[in-house]
Amino acid sequence: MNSTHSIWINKQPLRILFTILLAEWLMFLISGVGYNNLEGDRFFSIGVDPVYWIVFGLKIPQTILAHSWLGILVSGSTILLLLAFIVNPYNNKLAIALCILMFLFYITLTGYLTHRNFQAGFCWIFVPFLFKKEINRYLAFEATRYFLLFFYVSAAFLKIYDGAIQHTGLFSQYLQNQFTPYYLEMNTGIRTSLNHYLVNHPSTTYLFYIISVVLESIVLVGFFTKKFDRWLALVILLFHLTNWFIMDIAPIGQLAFIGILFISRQIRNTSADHV
Amino acid sequence: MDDLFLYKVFKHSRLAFAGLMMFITLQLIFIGKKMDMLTFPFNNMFAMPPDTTSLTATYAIRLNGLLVPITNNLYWKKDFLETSLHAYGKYKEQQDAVYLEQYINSTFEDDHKRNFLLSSLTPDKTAADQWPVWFCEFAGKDVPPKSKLVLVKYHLLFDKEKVSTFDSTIIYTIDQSL
Repeated sequence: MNSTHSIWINKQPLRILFTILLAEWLMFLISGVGYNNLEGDRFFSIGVDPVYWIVFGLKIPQTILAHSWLGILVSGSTILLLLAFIVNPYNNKLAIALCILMFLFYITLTGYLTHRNFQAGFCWIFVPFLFKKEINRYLAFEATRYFLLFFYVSAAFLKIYDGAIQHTGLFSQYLQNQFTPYYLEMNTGIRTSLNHYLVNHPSTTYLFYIISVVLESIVLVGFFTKKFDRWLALVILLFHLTNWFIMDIAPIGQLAFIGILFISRQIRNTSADHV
Repeated sequence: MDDLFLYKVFKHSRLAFAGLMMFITLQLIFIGKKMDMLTFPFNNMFAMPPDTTSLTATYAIRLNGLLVPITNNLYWKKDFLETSLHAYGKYKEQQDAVYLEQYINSTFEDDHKRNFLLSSLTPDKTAADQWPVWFCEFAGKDVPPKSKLVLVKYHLLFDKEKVSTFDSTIIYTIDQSL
């Protein structure tokens, strides 16, 4: 093992990755679900999860949402820390602080959103950077990459294992629920027209469902080789783009996390001597 | 063998290896039990067959007779407005109870522990009663004094030609003029 060389040749790819993360954070704030926007919200619904229980049991989200200044302070601090981290992405103390802040926000948002939305990627991305020693960071990066792959492969596996893939009308049933507020408000357009078409054409819709399961399954390749990681990232992004268009589920919180597949080979090439 | 990730971790640190094995084991157990947790995601979105019907339900709030629109907002806010309103509709339909309240009541027998968990982990019922007012203001609609807010559940009917409102039910009303 050689710990004298950096695992990453330069900081540039990481800076791009965390700039995307900063954009994700700004999208939370600009769209209007930052802490200060949620001030005064007293209705939340959490599940059976010890992490949520600890954070809500300590009344951390409730306290932040009770004070506008505190919400602005936490949101603003996160921006400043992210900027500092973009400058120095190997600073593990910043990574620890940001990881805690991001998890806290995710728990708060989903607690008050009253729904898990599987977009915790903006928290998971910090896991490799929590470590100071390069070898630890490298192994944590590998583990995080496998976790990302597992996340998508398990989704495909469960669709197959639970038998959902055998129900030809299933996806059109799901789609029926995706745009209901748009119809109610008569805010219709190309996406609702497509939605209406797909609801009424279950065979076509089933084909889309099969394609989505195939796209998620393809990610399995990543467990055996890193050779196609960039393609896998594009496949996942294609999956999410389609999801947004036909299901109105945007993957905004996952983008930087998926981005680790774009830099994984670079890390492998330069870390060959390390382990 | 040297290329295997788990072997690399094993060689590097027994403690890290043990931690990783525990994580993998717990993840598999939770998947087996169909339990979804923040640290152990059970990503079964769109894997369970839904009810087969041509009707679909959604909730909306009418402020002084006018629908409070939510879909023109940017993604996160639109998602927040839609999802939290859906959960609030369910909360009101289930006699002011979120899922966790039912879970805690059925799981913890000790009164002291149960009351502590309920007060920390479930919303205050008095504050939650006024939540539609917060919702309207969050959605960008001012709520003038003596307003009437109505939480409505709509059923929409999908047929070949169009999507139309099938029926609607008033779930909850706040009349500030009373």
